[in-house]
Amino acid sequence: MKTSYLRFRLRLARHALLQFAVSLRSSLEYILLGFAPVIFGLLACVALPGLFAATQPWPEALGLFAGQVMLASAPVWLLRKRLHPAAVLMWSRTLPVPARDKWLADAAVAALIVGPLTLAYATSTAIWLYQWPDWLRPVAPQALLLTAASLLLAWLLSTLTLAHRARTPAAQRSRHNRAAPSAYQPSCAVRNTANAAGMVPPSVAATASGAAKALGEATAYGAAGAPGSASHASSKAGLPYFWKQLFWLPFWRAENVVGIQQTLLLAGAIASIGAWMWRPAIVPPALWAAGAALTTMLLTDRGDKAVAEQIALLRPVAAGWPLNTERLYRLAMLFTLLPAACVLAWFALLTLGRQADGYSHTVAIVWLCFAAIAQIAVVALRRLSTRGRVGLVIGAIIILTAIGSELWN
Amino acid sequence: MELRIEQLDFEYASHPLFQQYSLALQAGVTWLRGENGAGKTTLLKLAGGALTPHSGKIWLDDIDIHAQPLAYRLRCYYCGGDTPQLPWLSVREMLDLHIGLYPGTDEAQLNAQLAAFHLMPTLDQPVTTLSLGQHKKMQLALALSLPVHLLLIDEPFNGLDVDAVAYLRQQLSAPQRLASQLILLTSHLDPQLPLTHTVQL
Repeated sequence: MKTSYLRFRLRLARHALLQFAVSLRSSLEYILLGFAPVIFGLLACVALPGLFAATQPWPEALGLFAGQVMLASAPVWLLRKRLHPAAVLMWSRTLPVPARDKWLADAAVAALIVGPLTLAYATSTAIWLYQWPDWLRPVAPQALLLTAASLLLAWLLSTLTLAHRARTPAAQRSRHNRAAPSAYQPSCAVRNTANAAGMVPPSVAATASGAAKALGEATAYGAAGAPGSASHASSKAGLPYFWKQLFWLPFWRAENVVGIQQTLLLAGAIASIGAWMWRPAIVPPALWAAGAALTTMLLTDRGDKAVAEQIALLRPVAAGWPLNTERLYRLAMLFTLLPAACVLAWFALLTLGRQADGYSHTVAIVWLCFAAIAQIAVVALRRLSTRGRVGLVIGAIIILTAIGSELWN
Repeated sequence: MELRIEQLDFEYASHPLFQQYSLALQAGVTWLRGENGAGKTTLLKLAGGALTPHSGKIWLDDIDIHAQPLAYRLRCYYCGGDTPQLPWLSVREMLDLHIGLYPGTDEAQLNAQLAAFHLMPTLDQPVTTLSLGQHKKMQLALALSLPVHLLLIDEPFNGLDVDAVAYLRQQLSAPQRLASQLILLTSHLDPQLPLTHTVQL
């Protein structure tokens, strides 16, 4: 049982990682092709905080050490739902697996992620030891010990993360002590439709439901007439209502992370543009320009991909609905552009909305126009092959970065 | 009230199901019989507009499913599937969605059906937390309340408790409903309803 459960969990984790890699393939292509030198530079520096901590007094050292541990354990936390899916959790809780085997499996799965990360840390540490800077020489043994300890702690934290997810939740009473609903009332969005169709008021409806509580009581027709007799209203709930129910809510509920992903990308784009305009001395403005271009393009690209997948999911379900679904799908695609429109508006406000302070208004306008065209192209050119789409997004990121680098010249 | 299917052709990949199939049904209950894989559910989906035939015509009350798809679908409801199709919604949101889709739905009648099926306490639950029987009851409560002329019910008694089966039989036998609706249902067991037609696939 022990080996089979461990094997099962490892196979599940590998499968999840493979699926995750496939889902990220196009994004990784953008990032690696466009920003490979920056990524490799960051990888080379990944062990720096841990090594540098050894030169600091203990409060700062502790902060750096804790940050290093959190950073190294973040991948397992972010991937926890994929590494141990809810459906598998529900099913496997009833299996006669000893607690020791569960801990072993969690540790092994955590090692699957922390292991390759350790290799990256080892490479980075080797680079710093090869560079042998003055500040490292007197504290090299302590720095190495701190780095190793941070990785071991990250492994432990990752194992605890997986074990915490797998625990059987305690039975909880509802926090709300409100009584169970005794009648159904349509929400405001569809209530207008109901009123337009001449429906009975809620008080009458509640009375009808109360009268029907005994099974077999034929109140349905007595209270409301025969089916099909209600007059058909000419208006229906608007498309924005259906968009909210079918495209907004699913991205925020259950284990769907699209809402969070898009929020982070939006926040990243807005922050990058803010920092780009603020021009802090320690980071070259061109880097912020690249960050703004990358996050703005990924914002629309990822959003459009999520909407396309949701449309594919809805098509068979909504095929029989009395709803012009093609119009709804077009609206959903159009709404994909809204976050990027907010980013462009933010850029316009910071550049065109005030007096030029050493930057070019013309370059800002060119950047805005090109960014707008690129966003529309991502959503409009849906028949592009995967490679074509990667080319479009990478090309747009590079051109936007190039235009942006001229903003302050 | 009439459902007419003429010279229908439909096949799944390398598996023909219907070839030049024709059918004409009037108001009342029609029992669609057949062994597993005979095409009962597929026929319901074709009649509901959820699947598109390769060729052939389907009319409901002289409304052509191809010429006026929205008007056709507004007059029919397909009640089937044992798993939630929109798992992110709550029961209340699911009901709201259908009220939005079918203007003219009678709120009082829907309340009566929900009460009769004991679904009121589940209104704020996610649909994924419903049991198989509760999910079926939610679909049936909608089916019995929506102002449609054609009801397509796939295995209506699956997962229902004894009381609910009796209630559903009573609802589907009500003379007013039989006069005003065309009910096409599949069932492996005798539905024990006043049948207008029995169709063997």
